[in-house]
Amino acid sequence: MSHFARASYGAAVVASLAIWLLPLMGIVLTSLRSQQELNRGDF
Amino acid sequence: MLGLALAVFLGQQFAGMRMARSLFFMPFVISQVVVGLVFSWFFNARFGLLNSILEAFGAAPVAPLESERWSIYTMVLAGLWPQTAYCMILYLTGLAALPSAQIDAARVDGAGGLTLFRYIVLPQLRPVHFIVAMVCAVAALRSFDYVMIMTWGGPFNSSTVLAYYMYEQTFLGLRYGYGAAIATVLLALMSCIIFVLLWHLFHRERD
Repeated sequence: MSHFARASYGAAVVASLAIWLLPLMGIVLTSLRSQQELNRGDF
Repeated sequence: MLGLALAVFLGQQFAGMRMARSLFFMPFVISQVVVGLVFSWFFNARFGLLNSILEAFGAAPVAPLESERWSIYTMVLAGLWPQTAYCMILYLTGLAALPSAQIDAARVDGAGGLTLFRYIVLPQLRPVHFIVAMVCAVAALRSFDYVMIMTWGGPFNSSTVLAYYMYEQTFLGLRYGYGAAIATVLLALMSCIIFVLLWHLFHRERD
């Protein structure tokens, strides 16, 4: 397998893994609250 | 099909592939209750990631869990996540057990890519297809956790499945006899599937 094909395959695996774990990452990305939101009682 | 596609995709021998396979398999290890909660959060109309992504692309926000039409599909998606991981492992095992001599012979005969997959790999995986179909059918029949966690069968019973209906009638409606009857029907349905699976495995072993 050529170097380019190996690199593209590695990138495709990482991209598909990111999509696959998107629901889990969703919790991390949307659970952070700003100081204003916390002061409003929006946890 | 998704499990097979993932298995073929991850079936290559590369550095770090074991780690990638383990991460792809992770949803199956997580409890179904946690998967239900993760997807409830993901699809949440107020703070879910789905709406954040849609907002970033300028699209209108959606509330699939509160929609009569889409709630069942969101649960199917939540159920697909761990089930696909499990099917992927089954297919990876099947792919690893393929006789390499036949594949090499097909390559010598000029088969490559899709032809090799369609006429050599897929027929060899027939026993795995069968086991995957049976396991998925049983998993679909006993899906209760996602409904309980994500929608409670709503809105307007649009996402009620047989297992949840049994719970609803027995413990919320206090109709114990009716609940027991539903449980019996569920048991009969699953027994049929398990009997077919055992019969198939027994005949394969005998041959």
